Amino acid sequence: MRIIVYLPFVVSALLGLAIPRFGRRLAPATATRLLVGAGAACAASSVLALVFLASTYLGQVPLVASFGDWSVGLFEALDPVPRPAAQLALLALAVVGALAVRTAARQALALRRVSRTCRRASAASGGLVVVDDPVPHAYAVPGGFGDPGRVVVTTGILRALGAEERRVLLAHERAHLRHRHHLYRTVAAVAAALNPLLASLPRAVEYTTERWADERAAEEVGDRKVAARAIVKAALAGGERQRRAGLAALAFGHGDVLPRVNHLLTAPPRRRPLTAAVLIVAVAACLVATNESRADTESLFEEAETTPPVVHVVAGRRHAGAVEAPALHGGPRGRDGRPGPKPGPDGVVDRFPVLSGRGEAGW
Amino acid sequence: MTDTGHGDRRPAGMLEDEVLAVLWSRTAPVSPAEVQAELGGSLAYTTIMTTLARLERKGLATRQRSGRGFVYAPAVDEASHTAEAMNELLARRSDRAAVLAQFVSRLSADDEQILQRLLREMDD
Repeated sequence: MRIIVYLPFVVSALLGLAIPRFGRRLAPATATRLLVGAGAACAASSVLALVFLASTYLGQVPLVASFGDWSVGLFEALDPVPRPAAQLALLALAVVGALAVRTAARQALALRRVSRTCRRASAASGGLVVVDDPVPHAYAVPGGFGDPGRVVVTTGILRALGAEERRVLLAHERAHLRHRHHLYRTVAAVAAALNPLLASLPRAVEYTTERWADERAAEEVGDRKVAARAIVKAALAGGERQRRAGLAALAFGHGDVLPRVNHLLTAPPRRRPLTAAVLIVAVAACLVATNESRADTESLFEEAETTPPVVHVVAGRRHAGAVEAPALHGGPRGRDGRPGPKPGPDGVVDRFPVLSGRGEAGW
Repeated sequence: MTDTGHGDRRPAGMLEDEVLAVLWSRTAPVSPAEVQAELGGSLAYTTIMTTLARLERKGLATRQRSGRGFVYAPAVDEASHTAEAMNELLARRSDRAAVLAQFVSRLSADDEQILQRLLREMDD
C-alpha cells in the first residue's frame, strides 16, 4: 500500500472547503451536476480507501486469515500500514456506513410518506395542489416512476403574488420536479454522511438547485426581473408573517434569498470551463488513486497467500503461516517459508522477486 | 426547457394550475373574462372556459350562475382538507427535508430591509 491511498481524503478536504465557492461561481445546472458528481466520487473513493486500509488489519486477524489462504505472519511483514491507522479505518467504515444507511433510509421513508399524502389530494393537471393556509409557502413533492410529482402552494403565497409572479413560482417548483432535484439532494446528503469532510455539500446543492429552478422560471416567463420580484415578494411575505407570529428571534436564517435575487437581476450565468475543469481533475485524481490502491491491496493479499493452491494440496501447509511468522520478521526474502525456496515448475518462486520489489517500494 | 424564449407559451398542464391559482388569489368568485384578463390576452376565451369547466369537474372549483354566465370559486373544503394532512405531515423534520422547499426561506432583519428597497426600485 502506498501513500496514495490517503489521497481521496486530501481531495475531499479540499473539495469540502471549495464547495461553497464552486456553488456560487458555476452556472447552477452545471454546478449541481458537477458538485454532486464530484461529491459522490470523492465519497465513494474515500470509503474504498477505508476498505483498503481496514483490510490490511482484517487480513492479520487469525480467524479471517484462516478463511483466506494467506499467512498472518507474512501479511504482517508485508503490510506497511500502521496497525492503529488500519483499525481506525475499520471503525470509521462502520460509523460512516451506518450514518449513510440511516440518511438514505430516512430520506426514502419521508419521501414515500409525503408523496403518498400528496397523491391523495386532488391536483390540477399540472400537478398543482392548493392548501388553504395563510402562511406563505410553496414546495415541490417529488413523485415516483411515471409520476411527475406535485407542486403544493398555500393560499398565503398565492395572494402575496401577482399573476406573472405566480407563474414564476409555479415554474420554479415545476423545474425542481422536472429536473429531479431531490435526487441530487439525496445523493449529496448520502455523500456527506459517507464522508464528513463533504459536510458543506448538501447546503451547496440546495442552493444550486434553487438557483437552477430560478433560472428555468425566469426563462419560462421570459423576464428575469419578474422572477426576481416574485422571490422578493414571497420572502417578504414570509418575513412579515414570522414577525406577526413572534418568530423574529428565529429568523436569522441562511442568506440565500439575496444572492438568488442578485443573480436574477444581473445577466444570466456564464460558462466557466476552467472552474469546471478543476473539479473534474480533482475527481480524476481521486479515481486514479482508488484504482492504484485497489491494485496495491490485491497484490498485498496475493503476496501474503501462503502458497498457490497446487502446493497447498501437495504440502498440506495450512498451519505453516504461524510457524514461519518469526522468521519473516527477520527478512522478507525468506518468506516463502519452505526450507530453501527452489525455483520449481509451478513458478512459485518466480512470483516473489516481483512482489517483494513492490513491498519494499511501498509505504 | 430553453426553448420558451417568449412569455406566452405555457408547457402542457401549466394552464390549469395557473387558472386554479387565479381562483385562489381572489376573495370573490371570478368570471372567465376576469381570469383571461389576469392571465394575459394571448389566451383564447374558450380555452379559459374549458379549463374552468375541467377544474369544476375535478372538484377543485365550484361555479354559480351569475347573469348570463358562470362565476367560479376555488373549492375550499378540498384545500383545507389537504392543508390538514400536509401540516401534520410536515411537522416532522425528516419529512420536511423530503420536499423541496426553499422558495420562501427565513430572512434576517437586514435582508428584509435590503429586499424592501429592492422591491421599491423594481416597481419604479
